[in-house]
Amino acid sequence: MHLDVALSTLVHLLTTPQLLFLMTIAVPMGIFFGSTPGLGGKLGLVLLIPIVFGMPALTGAVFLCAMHAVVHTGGSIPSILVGVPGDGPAAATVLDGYAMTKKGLAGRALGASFGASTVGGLLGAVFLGLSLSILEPMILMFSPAEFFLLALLGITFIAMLSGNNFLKGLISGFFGLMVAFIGLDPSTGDERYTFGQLFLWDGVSIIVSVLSMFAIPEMISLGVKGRSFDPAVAAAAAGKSEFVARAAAEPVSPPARPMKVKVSYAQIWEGMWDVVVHKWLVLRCALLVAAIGVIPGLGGDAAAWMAYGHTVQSSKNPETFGTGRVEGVIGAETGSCAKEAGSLLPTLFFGVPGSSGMAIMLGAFLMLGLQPGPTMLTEHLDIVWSLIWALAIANVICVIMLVAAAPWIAKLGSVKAGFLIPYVIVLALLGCYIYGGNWQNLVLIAVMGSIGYMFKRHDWPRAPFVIGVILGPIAEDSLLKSLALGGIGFFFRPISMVLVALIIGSIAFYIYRSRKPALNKAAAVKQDLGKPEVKHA
Amino acid sequence: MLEGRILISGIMFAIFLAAVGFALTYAPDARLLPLTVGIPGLILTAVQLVKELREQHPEKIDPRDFPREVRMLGWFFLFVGGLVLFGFIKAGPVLVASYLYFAGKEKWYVCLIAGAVVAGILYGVFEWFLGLPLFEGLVFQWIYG
Repeated sequence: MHLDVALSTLVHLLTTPQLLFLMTIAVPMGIFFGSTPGLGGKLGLVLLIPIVFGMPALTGAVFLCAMHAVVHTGGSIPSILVGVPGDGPAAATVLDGYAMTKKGLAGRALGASFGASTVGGLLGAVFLGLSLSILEPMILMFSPAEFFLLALLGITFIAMLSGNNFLKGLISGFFGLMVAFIGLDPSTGDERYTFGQLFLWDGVSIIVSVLSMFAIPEMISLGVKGRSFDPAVAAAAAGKSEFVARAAAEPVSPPARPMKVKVSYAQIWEGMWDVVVHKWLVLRCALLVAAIGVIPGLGGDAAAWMAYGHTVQSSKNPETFGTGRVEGVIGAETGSCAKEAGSLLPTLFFGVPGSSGMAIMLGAFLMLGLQPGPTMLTEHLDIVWSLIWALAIANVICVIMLVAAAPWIAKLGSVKAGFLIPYVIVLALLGCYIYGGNWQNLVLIAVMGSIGYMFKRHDWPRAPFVIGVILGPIAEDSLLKSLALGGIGFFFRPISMVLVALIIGSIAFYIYRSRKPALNKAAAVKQDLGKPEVKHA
Repeated sequence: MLEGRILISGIMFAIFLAAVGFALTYAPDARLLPLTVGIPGLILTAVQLVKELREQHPEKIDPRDFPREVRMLGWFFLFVGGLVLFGFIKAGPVLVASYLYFAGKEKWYVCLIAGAVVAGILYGVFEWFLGLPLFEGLVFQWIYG
């Protein structure tokens, strides 16, 4: 373990006023994006990218990481207070958190949420720090051929986790790859899909792709629906298990008129003490989810649901969950915050984003000049440790801010999301323009944003597209390098073969899973036909 | 009427078809990856399109959403058009205030304050503080040469 680097980066973060100041302003931003239904962490990252443009790599990365680390803590506020989750993972918190509010225990639920999020975030950071020394030799063994295969695996994994939309997910990922090929060919310099437009010579920027697929469709949808979130739909769309989707659909019914909620410091402390009482649950959920977060795609919304599912399964009274059990809040919140550290691992070292949020983060890292891969361990270990510490410090700053502001926090959940639509659209368009300084990017985002909205409207997964755009150049570069170094034989190395097997296995697993309901149905029909006819008297 | 789910599958099929078609005109080295990705993509979109065409069930989308969608897309294109023609500093505040007044049904003074806030962010933060020159719009570029 690189203890010297770990300690020196911590000292550097804590003694550099600029970094501390940036983290201190990133945290309330993260809380705001998380707590405003319809915005969320991905949009927060997208909107902050223009601001970090031009910053030194370490400063920009720490700022974005600190913001992203606390988004889920913010997301729990509207989940608990008004029964409307701020983002996908926070939907798990609604089940027991909002039930507690209806019982007059909003403060305790918030306290439990703040405490569990902070401890979850810290444990996740510890997990990431400890796993570095174990993973280092493995990461350094990877050659360009493996990175090419990892890029393919990343798209396959994330498409597979697009619920029942595997085919659409794959097409979306392939579409992203095709968009990544726009520009000059890296080996020959030939123009590809530029149509004589000079601004396309450098390709379509990741910023334009991300904004058009996330910011614009979300804002159009928010304007169309006039509401922001439906936990059951979100759970089903995210491909959760039937149990989770049903649990999400059943007990929550947000009120037509928000209740008047009073939050006291005594209740907050009571909730935070609950986290201490349930310390083993917190530890189990954090480690489980941080480990799961390493698997690309699973580090997304599913993590909070898995932690919640584990909490329910390990309880002596699972039937009481959904009625206001504090353990439900603790499990879900620990999970949603611990996963960030886990999903940072494949993002930094393999260039394969652990979640859709990390896909955007990866784009931002590339924009800041950080190239994910083994060089992060060999040349930028200080940045890696700074990010780990940023995750931990941001969580601590977050809990201090939230506890201090607890009595007034109830107002955060009632921000009028519709009011933000024009601001977000203008800032998104501004972000597109600033990167590259081409007004033509505004026209491009109009076209791609319309496609993005159609994707959202018809349940086409959008995360694989962004991952395709990000991984496209990495895949192309790795393929060209591996072909130049060892030809096609490079793909027959043992690690490459394992990755090829994983790609084939993931596709085969999906085909098996999608055929299973049909097979079960056929078996049930066969069984029904075999039954003797019941004669009624 | 053509359903949206069929339309988006058709659009994706057309995009991949065009992408493969264009790739065939490139030099062998330049077309290697576009074809490696484009041809499977074309096959997958064809499968998806056929799947959508064969599916019988109607779309589970609220029909009342359609006029709202047209309105919101109209606003979005108005934002893009306004910013391209008149630039961020001039069009940004006007568009935000107009949206809140006409679409958000906010009071006029709220809209004015919102517009002023946008002007403050665009000019104060981006142009003055960060020193990033913002696009002044095609109309003003044409007028001032």
